[in-house]
Amino acid sequence: MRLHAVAIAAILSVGMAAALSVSSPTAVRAATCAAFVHRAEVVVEHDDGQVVRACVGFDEATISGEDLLARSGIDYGTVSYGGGLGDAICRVDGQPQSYPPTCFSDSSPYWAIFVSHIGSSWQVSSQGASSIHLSDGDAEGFRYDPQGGAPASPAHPESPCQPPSPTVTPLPPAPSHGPGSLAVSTPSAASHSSAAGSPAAHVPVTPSSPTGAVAAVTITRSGGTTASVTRPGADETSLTGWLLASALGGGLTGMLILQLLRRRPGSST
Amino acid sequence: MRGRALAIWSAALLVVCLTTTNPITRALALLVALNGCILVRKPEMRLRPLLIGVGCAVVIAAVTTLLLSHTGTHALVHLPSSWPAVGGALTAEALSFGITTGIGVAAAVLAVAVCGLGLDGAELVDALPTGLQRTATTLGSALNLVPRVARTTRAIAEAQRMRGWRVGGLRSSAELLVPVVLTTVEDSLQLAEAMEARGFGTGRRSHFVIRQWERSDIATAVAGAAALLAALVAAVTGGTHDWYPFPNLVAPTVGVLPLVALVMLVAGMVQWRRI
Repeated sequence: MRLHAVAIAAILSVGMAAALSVSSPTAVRAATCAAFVHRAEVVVEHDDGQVVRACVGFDEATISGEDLLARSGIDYGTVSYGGGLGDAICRVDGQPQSYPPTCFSDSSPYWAIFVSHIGSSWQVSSQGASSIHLSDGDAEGFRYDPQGGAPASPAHPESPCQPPSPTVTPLPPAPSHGPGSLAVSTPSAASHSSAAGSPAAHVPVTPSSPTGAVAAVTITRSGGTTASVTRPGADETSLTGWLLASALGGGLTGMLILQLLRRRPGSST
Repeated sequence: MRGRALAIWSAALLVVCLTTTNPITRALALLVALNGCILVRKPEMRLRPLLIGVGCAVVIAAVTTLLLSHTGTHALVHLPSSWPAVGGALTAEALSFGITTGIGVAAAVLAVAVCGLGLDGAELVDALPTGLQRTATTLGSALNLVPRVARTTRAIAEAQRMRGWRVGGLRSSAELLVPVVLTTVEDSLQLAEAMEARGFGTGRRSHFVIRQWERSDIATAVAGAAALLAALVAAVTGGTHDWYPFPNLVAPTVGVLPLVALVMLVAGMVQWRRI
């Protein structure tokens, strides 16, 4: 009986470990170039200090902060504040990987939104991204900030932002902020997936028509069409956690089965 | 098992459950609590009603969240939007969040139930800090009144039926309620007098038998304290790896520190009885 239980525990441990599949986080870094009348910059600063910049072109006189972020190709998620305040930004560039329905909790870090008008210093926005209006030369900043006190400003904007050079330039891989960071799905980006075979490259994309409906996007990819770039050490920690969890889960399940077998009426052990 | 040692262990497990939304950590905490309940329970204590109740809590949490939260991108079923509250998309994200919530509730309940299953009333009171023991005794006596009132109500209702009483309107219920209230008050006065006669509230709590700390008690307490520390450090430093399935269902990452806390708890638990 005891041998059976130990065998069950061992099989469960091995099975759970084998069932593991640590999904590789993916990352796409996007920047935009400008063949448009106006340009505005998006600056995203993660909690680890990594900065992502995107220069977005547009033809309208003004553009909302959320539209600018959407056209930059940077992955983001929102929840409406309600009451005309616009949308709260819950996730940018894969950080955080997931968030509660309320966008952030009372104690969790959050995305502070900043606005810079034509070279001025950053000002904290009192409205959601969809209620911010930006025009030529402006910049919109996002900084993942812990709650408590006034949020620190993100990295300085470039005014006016410059589109990147249209040459393919290898870049060091950027750290990922989780599997959710791959969400660039602009048509222009998709149409240039063939250029993503190089390990890391700027892939400038020219807009098919300068209507302003979709901004020209310059995308940095690493690896393939769904690049895999991870934060140093993150995978190792995750793998250790999963291995430890599966071993512990198998052991505990085995222990539970063993106890139930021992307590069963008529059991010889 | 010393009550205080088990209380430390139980508190540590409770902290592990409540400081994270990570489903893996919660599921493992549930397994630890289940093992703990089976290991520590006294033969006369029944586990099945508790498990049924906990199972119902998990199902209710999952179904409620699935029906009422329409957030998420992976729709399983679409209910007509004209249906109040439940109308709309029922999503995989909401279902997974509901299940995770239910597992957390189950783990927390079983973490506390370890004390209830393994200790008798006096040991439970001993497990509390000295300053709270008198309050705990009063509170315990008050809670004990609830099943006693139910028993009294059944007995009086039966006696009244024998006299020809039938359940009817408000007036007929008074014929049941008045004796129930009077009997309850009488019982309470008797309990208070008995407690006073035994010196309740006059000094330190006395014991028939004073148990010394054994090696297994010390091991349980040390393991519990270490696990508590690890869980608190994980909560403060963000090592709990909280998980939310919204807006897209993603696999959780597993934090090492909460697992270390659980391993410590298991190490303390295996001392309780030879497996």
